Amino acid sequence: MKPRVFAAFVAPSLLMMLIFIAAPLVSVFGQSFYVTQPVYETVEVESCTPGFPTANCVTETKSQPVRDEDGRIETRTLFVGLESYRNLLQFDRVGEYLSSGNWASILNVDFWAALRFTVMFTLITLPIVIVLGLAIALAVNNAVRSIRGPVIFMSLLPFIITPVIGALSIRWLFIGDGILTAALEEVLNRDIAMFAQGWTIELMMYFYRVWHVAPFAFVIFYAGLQTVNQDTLESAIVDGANRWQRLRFVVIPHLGPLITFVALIHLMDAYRVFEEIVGFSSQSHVISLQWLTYDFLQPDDAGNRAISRASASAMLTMVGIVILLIAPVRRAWREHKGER
Amino acid sequence: MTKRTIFAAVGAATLLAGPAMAECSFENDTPVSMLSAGFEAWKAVSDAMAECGSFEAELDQEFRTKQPAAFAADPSLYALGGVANGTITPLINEGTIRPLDDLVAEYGQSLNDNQLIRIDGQVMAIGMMVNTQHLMYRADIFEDLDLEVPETWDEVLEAAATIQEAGVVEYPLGATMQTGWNLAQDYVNMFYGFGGEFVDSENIPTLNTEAGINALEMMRAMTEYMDPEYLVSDSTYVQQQFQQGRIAMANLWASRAGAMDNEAESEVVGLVETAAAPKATADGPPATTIWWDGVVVAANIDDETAEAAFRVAMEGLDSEMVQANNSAAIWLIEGYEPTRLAEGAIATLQSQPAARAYPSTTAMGLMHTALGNGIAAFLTGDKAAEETLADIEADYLTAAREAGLVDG
Amino acid sequence: MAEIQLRNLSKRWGSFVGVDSFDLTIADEEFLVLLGPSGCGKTTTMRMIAGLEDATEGDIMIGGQRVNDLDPKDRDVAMVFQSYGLYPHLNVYENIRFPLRVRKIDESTHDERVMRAARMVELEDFLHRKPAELSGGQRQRVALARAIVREPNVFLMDEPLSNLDAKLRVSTRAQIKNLSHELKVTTIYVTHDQIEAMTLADRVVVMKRGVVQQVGTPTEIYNRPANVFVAGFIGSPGMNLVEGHVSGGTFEADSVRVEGLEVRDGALTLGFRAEDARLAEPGEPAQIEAPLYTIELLGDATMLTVRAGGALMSVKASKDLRASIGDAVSFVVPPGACHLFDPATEARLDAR
Repeated sequence: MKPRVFAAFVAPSLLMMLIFIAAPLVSVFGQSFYVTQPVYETVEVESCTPGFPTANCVTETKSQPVRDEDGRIETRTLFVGLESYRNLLQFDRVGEYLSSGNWASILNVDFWAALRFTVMFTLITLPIVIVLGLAIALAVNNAVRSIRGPVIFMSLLPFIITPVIGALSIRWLFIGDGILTAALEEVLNRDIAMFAQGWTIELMMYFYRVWHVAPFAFVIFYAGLQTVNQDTLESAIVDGANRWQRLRFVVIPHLGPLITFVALIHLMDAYRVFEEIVGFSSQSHVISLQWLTYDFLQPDDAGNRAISRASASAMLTMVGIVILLIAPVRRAWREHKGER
Repeated sequence: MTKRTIFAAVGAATLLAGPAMAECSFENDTPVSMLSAGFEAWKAVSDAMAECGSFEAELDQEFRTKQPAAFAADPSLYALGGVANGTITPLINEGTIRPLDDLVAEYGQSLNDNQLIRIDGQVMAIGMMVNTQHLMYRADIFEDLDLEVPETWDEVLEAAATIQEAGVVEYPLGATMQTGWNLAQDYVNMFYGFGGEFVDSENIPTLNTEAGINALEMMRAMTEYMDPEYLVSDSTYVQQQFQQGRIAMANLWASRAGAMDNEAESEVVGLVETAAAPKATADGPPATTIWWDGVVVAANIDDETAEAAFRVAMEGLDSEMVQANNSAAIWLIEGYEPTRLAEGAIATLQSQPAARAYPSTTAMGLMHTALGNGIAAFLTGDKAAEETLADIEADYLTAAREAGLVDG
Repeated sequence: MAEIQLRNLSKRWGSFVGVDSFDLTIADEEFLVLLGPSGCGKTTTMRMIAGLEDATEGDIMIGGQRVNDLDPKDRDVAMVFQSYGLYPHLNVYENIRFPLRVRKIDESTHDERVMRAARMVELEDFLHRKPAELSGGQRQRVALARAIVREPNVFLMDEPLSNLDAKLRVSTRAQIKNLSHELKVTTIYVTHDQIEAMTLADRVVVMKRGVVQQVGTPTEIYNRPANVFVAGFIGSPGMNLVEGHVSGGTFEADSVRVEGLEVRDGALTLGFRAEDARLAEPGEPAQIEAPLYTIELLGDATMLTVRAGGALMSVKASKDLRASIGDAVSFVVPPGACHLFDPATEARLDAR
């Protein structure tokens, strides 16, 4: 393709990337170093609210924002440097915990708790998703042709369901005396409260994510299995390789680039875990980095948003993803070069 | 064609138009729109407003997020807004709602003084109903076990112990302790019950006090009698626990009381009674906060629209509407006949010393968030009481500094 | 060392017959070629011997043992595939070692065996390359080495040369021939190329639509094709075949007249090879007279083709001969060089 034509094809999407990805990113990066806040004044206010039988009037001092001539809230923007990051990471508290040997308490700081869960969630679900996806793909590939269609459809179902709906339906299966909890109680003959402690909720979140994402891995691997070189496979059979050896020496090397691909996508997705937190209302026990950012952005009743800390947390989340992706991206690059 | 048939035709036309227009005292032709929460009472009010014509209501659970931005637009995207004492704060702070004194003087003859929400002397909102968390209990269980209706939380715990021992229900107590807003709200109730103040006049937190620790301890004592999954139980969940006969007591929103007698959902129709919110200390106020819901009028609209909007609002808040929807809420409006299930709310409102209204301040918004994120650590046993409160104060201070409420 | 017996071996998919009652005994150390056009069942037969395909009927005996129910790995056969079937992520050395590795053969012997196999196919210099870095011929030699390294009782080769270009094909063919001579292992070789069959085989099996047409040494099937199909398939060009009538020992077809045949009267398919006929001398009586259809210069000879008896007939002539298309030409076909076939059964008529 001529450079000109190439440019004409690429330019629109490049422009879109600049406007919708690069620019916001730069803006968020910038915002994480500034704080914009209203200027407050302290006033005495008498306010009356309903009571029975007559209204309840009280006088109280409260802070309220100063408004300029146009009636807008007067704000000031301060350069705070790394203050928002410090507020997020709370190194002083972390240092205290470390020096007092109270390591587990580090998780009292929201960011570190979120990081702990996010990283564990990502790294634990990754191998399970890949192994399970591969297992389903192999099972379907070896299944009798007539039942293949229905099996594929069934295994794709979790993937089709909207994440939040899926999380909510699992939640209702387990919460209180939900069907599955009741069934488990019947089998184990003991009282079970899946939502009463953090680790059971966390288990359910792992379970849910694997259940939801494995079909994606399955589809990719199943497609890959269709292009395995039959001669190589039969060579291995004649050479004396058993099923496991055929899988290890022929099928898995063939699926290598696809495994890297699935790992890449899964790392990116899982690191941004969010739906599970909302779906399982797990805030009291486990939170994720993405949820933390969301929570900062969510206005309270009084309309406050913590934009600066949200920006800092978003930047740190992105840094985390980049670090996680280095290994698989390098691998993909080597595979890409190797094919030439 | 005879005269008689013409007359008959006109009569029929009037009859057809009748049901739609008859209840509104004027015909509105200025487009008026409203954004409010979506519960039953707002539905009743907006239906009544719609009878005046040219009216459009958006009932949206996300109104809290949408309202400040929508009202800040010029012209405002909505003429009317439905607010509560918490959600009016950003509108007041940004000055996007107008004082209503003139309009009240001209069109508000039917309003009683109790409905006029005054801030700094000016009427800023028209209250229509109150909501509060108060005691609901299973009268049949109390009667069987010969129990008195508890007036303090200590008595609640005693009653819960008796009920649990008797084995009537596994977990006698329910509470809206879902992490986040609900949990924080329960703490606010208890903290005020113990006579605490969240911040001083400089917006510095004063949480880590005896009242703060007492409130935490009391909440933990409550959890002994509660389903262990209390950290995910919101109002709907507690309501269902009641309806399915799984709990015997809860400090639950008055707006949920009606559901106890809903025969389609409830297995305990007629068995649930209400009483004043329990006190934290014998001579203190009920450990709860008073919430009101009401209507505000946008500042960024022209005066004619504001006038029309106010008149429409008055039609929505009239006695006819209340009489048609008597059990939908604890109405502040003339003509309301308290029902059996409203007794608890009224007792709560009348008790002395009085329960406080939920404070509509910026600082309280930040504090509520910090509480919602922080309290659970104490209940799950991860942190001690002082540590929990110190961490919440630290969280609050971080946010307050970022918001500019506290210097340095 | 192994003798292979195929007894009444058949393969059917539903009503489709892949291989029909194949009966053959392959002697120990024999190089047998299965030859036929695509779809004739030759590959299926080989895959049944390898164990990659189940036989519908019949027995496969290797070294006197019935192997129908054994897994491929337990049959002690090695196989070379058309597209090599190498392991792309392993280097040449590991590719060759693979069978030893998965069969848990004593590790201390691996290196020696791999090196010996590599030497036999002249791959010593490429041991650390990946298959992707090799040429087609080198890849096929890796596949050969991988087969050799196990020292199996039977070699199976499925069209191993068809993915190579013409020149490589000739040299690799020579290498295979030499290897088999050296290794003395029973080998079954599948091809659709009759030259490969002729050059490599001790015996050739010609197949068509799942049915064996003829079994014999290359000389036998060239000189005495059992039927019209074999006659036309073997040789380059294939045998000239013309349909006509015999009366009183004289065969007649359009532009063709051959006298002095010892055969009953009636319909007959007459065949002769291009090199068995020649251009008539001026004035000499000729069996075929027709205008020249085309002339091809082969270098060592000139091929003359005419249209006669409804078919194209090719005759080899001296390499110096030149003629123009359309010129009248006359061919001498000695009656003794003629092959006679029954046009109804297509079978060879004479019992010679």
